[in-house]
Amino acid sequence: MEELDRILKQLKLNKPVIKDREFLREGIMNGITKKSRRLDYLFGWTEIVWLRRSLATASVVIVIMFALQQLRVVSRIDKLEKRMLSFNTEKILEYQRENVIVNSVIMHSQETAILADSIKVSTNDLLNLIREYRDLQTKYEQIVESKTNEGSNINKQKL
Amino acid sequence: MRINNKTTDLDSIYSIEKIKAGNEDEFRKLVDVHMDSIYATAMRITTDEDDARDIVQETFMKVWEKRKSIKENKSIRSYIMRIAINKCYDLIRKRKSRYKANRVDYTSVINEIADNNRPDYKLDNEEVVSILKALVKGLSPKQRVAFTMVELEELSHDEIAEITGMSKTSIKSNLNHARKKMEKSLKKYLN
Repeated sequence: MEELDRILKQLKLNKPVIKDREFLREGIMNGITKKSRRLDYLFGWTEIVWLRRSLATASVVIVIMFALQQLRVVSRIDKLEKRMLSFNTEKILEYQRENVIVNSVIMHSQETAILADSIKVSTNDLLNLIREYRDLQTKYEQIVESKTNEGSNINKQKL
Repeated sequence: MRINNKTTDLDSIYSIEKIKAGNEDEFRKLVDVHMDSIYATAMRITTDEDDARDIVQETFMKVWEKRKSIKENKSIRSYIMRIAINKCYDLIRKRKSRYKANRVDYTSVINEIADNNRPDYKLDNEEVVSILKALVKGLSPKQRVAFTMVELEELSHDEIAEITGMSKTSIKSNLNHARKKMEKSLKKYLN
């Protein structure tokens, strides 16, 4: 199209010109000066080599410390979990032992004369009774043991 | 106007090394050398004087910010032009609605130029803007860039590809589409 080519030719020849060229250039220069001053103020310290290096070292140390602390915390939690587990196992075992005794007492009482006549004992009372009995038994064993130890000491002295 | 992939004569006016080191006086020289061509390109693409000024300002601010990444063995003009073109793309996308809304009567100017074939015909910025607005109104940002750089700036396809990142095929097809659209819209204005 001829007309288009003619117009394009004119547009090519007539290059747009900046009005207030100096003003625009100084605007750019002022902008970069302001920007570099602001950057100097904010990030100027990054140019100090010793400060940069020491901060980098400090950050590495902090990261290592954090990792070690985490490891320590995890191992402590692990230990506590193990302790809790063994404590719970002991409790369960004791409970089961008591149950066995209660059941045996009940079984035994069913076979004997006191069955169903007049005495009624609740499971809790029975458990308490058994606990008391076991405490007494422990104490008795301790007394016997101490007596035995005393006897052996006297024998040693005699000898 | 031509640009080369390697350094040009204009590049010897200022020292890239000093600019990279933060020398503002050297940067002023660089601004002086390149601001006119960047302004002309930006104005031809955006068809707005204020937008073109903004683009020139923002482009050189970015060049200053990124001065440390300037490669000395490559053309600084291509580097600056690439930044400017990207700014043009951003601006056209951002102000799409404004361009559509801006309707001016270009008929008289266009008819006058289309009829006269005088080489000394002087157009001021406003007339250039008016004609460009009429021509590039329906063009996509890529078509505008391809048209401006090939038809008005007379850059080679290789140079445009380096600046814009478009492939040569894409430049050609964008240019063809742009020409067809411009011919169509020009018919509306011609008596």
